[in-house]
Amino acid sequence: MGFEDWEDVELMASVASGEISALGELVQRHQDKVLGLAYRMLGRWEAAEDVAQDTFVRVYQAAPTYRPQARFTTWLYRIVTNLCLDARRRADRSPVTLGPTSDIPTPETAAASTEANERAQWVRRAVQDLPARQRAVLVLHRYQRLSYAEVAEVTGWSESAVESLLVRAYAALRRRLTKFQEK
Amino acid sequence: MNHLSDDRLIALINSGLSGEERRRVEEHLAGCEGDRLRRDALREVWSILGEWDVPARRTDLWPRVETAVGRLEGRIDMSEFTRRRGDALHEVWSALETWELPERRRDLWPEVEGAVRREGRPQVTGRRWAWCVLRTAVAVLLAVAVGHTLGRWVGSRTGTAPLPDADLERVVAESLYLHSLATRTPSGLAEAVLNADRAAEEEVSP
Repeated sequence: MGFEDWEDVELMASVASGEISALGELVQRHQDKVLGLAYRMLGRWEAAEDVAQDTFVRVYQAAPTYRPQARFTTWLYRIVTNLCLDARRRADRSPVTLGPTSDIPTPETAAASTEANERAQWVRRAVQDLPARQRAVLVLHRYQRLSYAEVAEVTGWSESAVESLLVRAYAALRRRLTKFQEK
Repeated sequence: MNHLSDDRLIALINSGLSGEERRRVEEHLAGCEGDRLRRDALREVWSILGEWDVPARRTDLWPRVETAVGRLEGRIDMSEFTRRRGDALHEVWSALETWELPERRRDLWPEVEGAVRREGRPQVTGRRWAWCVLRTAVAVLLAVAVGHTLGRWVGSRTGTAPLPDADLERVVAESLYLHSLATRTPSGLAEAVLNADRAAEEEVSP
């Protein structure tokens, strides 16, 4: 069945009625965004893929009760964000679970260690070192390009809390950037 | 002059301000060097954050998700789970039923009789006898002591103080349907009986 022209909400209704291939279309459509968001929050592809898989399983489970009160992607990002925060919390309790925020070098990551990518590596480390809530807000705002109100909707925190977290995240990054440039 | 907050400046950089608000912020920045410097610093952070480019991951999640959903469906099929559990219990029950005790045709009495004759009744030795007596004596003494103490305690609780001698004699006399008891003598009631006999003799022989 071709789902290319279907809206996300229509696909969800189809999943709720037991059409599993509609879930496949949702996965194809959103997996890159979900993976990218999870990776930026967790810093490891393996963990990000686990979270992404869990996210779509949750989507499947929630389909019968899903009500399109917000944009589908907002709802999807909320699931990803909550799963990532849970994963980080578990990792903080047992560092073995997630480990340091680095992957085993692949050809791509090995190339990333060149001088040209030194700043990108620095950014990655700086973002990963932020406290979990600041990191979540920064990633949603900067990389997913969500407004303060949308970030608040995704995270469930108030808009003023989101602004405050974001300001603190930028202040921390500015301090680190100054030190980095002094080297 | 009120300076702009960082969140306004970040919103400006992220194109998150409406047309009118954006115009007001830019007007303010034109006349405030301090805020312009802060905006530039934040813009630098914003810009360098953009250098963290996540390469597209050539991962197709669908086979993983499909497997996970299928596993989930299998796990929550409770009817299948109940049927399997029922089968397992029936299997255990059947296995238990096959455990039959073999019949023993042996008569145990000769062995028991032989053992009884061999061993006999347990004999009470002299030492054991002394020990039994001692334990009994201690038990009796304890019972008396406890009874006595308990009696005194109950008496004190109920407020029955011992009667004076005169009252005691009166109570005893009343219980014997007498006006009074005889005078106390070293021999006690013997004197009363003798007095009573003498009075009877005087009545018979005036």
